[in-house]
Amino acid sequence: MNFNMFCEFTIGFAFGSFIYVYFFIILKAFPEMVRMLKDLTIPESWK
Amino acid sequence: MRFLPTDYIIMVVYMVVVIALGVYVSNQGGNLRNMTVANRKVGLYSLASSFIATEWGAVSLFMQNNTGNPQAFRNLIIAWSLTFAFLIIGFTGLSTILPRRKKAITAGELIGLSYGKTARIIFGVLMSFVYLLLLAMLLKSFSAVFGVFFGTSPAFLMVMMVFVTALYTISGGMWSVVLTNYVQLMIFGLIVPITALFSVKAVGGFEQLFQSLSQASAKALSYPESFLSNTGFAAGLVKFLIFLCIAVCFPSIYTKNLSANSTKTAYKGFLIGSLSLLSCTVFTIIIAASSAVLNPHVKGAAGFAKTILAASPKGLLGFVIIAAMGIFMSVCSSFFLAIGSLFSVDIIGQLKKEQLNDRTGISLLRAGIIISAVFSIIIGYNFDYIETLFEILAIITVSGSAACILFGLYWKKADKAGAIGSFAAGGLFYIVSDLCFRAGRSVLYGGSIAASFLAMILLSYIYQKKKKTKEEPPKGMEAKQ
Repeated sequence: MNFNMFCEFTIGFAFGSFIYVYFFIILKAFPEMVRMLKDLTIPESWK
Repeated sequence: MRFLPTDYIIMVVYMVVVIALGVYVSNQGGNLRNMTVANRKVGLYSLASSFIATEWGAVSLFMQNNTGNPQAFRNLIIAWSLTFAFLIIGFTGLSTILPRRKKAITAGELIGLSYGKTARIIFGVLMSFVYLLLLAMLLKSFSAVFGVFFGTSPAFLMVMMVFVTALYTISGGMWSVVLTNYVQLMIFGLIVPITALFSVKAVGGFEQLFQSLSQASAKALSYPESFLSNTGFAAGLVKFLIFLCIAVCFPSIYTKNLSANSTKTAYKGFLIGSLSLLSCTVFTIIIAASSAVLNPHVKGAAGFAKTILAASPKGLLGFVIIAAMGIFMSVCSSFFLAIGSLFSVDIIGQLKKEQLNDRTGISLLRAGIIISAVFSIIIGYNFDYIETLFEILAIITVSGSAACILFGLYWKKADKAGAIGSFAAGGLFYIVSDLCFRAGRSVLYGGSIAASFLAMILLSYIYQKKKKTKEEPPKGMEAKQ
């Protein structure tokens, strides 16, 4: 594999994998975060 | 000034959201375990998002050095070696499964369990300084970035960001780090790839970028020529070893792993984070390479910011700035927490005779964060040779700590003498070969790692043998008795 091909492959792989990981994580982590925030104990003085 | 009123609104809204989240979880302090590892309740995707958010800052800090260099794309090789190193550590479960089996909550504790107090304190002190210098470098680099964005020295903004980050880390510990990291990643995870694409567009597309780079330098688009050259295979291998050691011993990575709600979560989260390292690095390299065409004479963070500023469309600037703020703050918060826990649990906690109670532990952790915030500002703004100092200290700490952790986990004979020796040998090798022989960087780095590992094996072996001969009296003596 020449260097140009290596660069193209790496850049393509980086964009592709990141788009997948980013949306996957952001979407899946949202309910987790909401659950986490709900589980937190709120101090009496705030209620 | 290129900013629109909406850009300022975006910045203010971002700051308010981050502070509000920090305050919301502020009552979660409670005990030290809650502060440092969020009571081990963090789910897989939250963990992965926090991982990626922190990596991004660290990677962008080091990759900015290639800005304006036509050979910037050669660093794609480093991007792969970094990713592979972390993936290997991820697959072996070295920093995820094994520490949990030993029931440790920090990297220092892992060292303490195998080698006792002294080794743990040495590790704590060295690592705290490494993180402090990292923070100072980060401050310096992002100060240059914001300086280009705003056109003036942004000292007030930088100090404000450091203290806002310190404030939310102090109040909610790991809880606020995970929450704010998620919000920050949501923003810069979108903005950075987009700005990378815009900067390529400003050059005239990928084809044009490759063509301009090869015109600027004959070596720009070729593999490193010789085995031992500065960017050659041997240097690559040494860097790969360093990345392996970093993945094994950095406390901020451990605290994230150990805050996961199960071993499986930690294992998977670390792997997702490792895979994303490649993308974070590649985006930064793309901007650095575009900068070689657009602003060839401006190097470092300033060139990086100049390229982004010139390439981004007007409406996007507010988001670009909060993305930069997010990267800075996410990595700062993780480092603050790491320094705080090193200071309270691994240094003061070990110096005290009685065990730390939760109240004192948390107060010390908070004090550690405030001290590091103040000192990072002082060092970042007043000292010129932070990078050199960081390089020396980081390689000594990383090689020594990696030897300690690896042998502590896998070799029963490893002991205190080997641990202290491994820190000393790495440092000694670096200083002697640098001062006396003016050795190249690869020799310095690789040699320090080898010296630490060798010292660990030799000293542990000798010490064990001595111990045995002391415990077992000679046979003749037994007969006489």
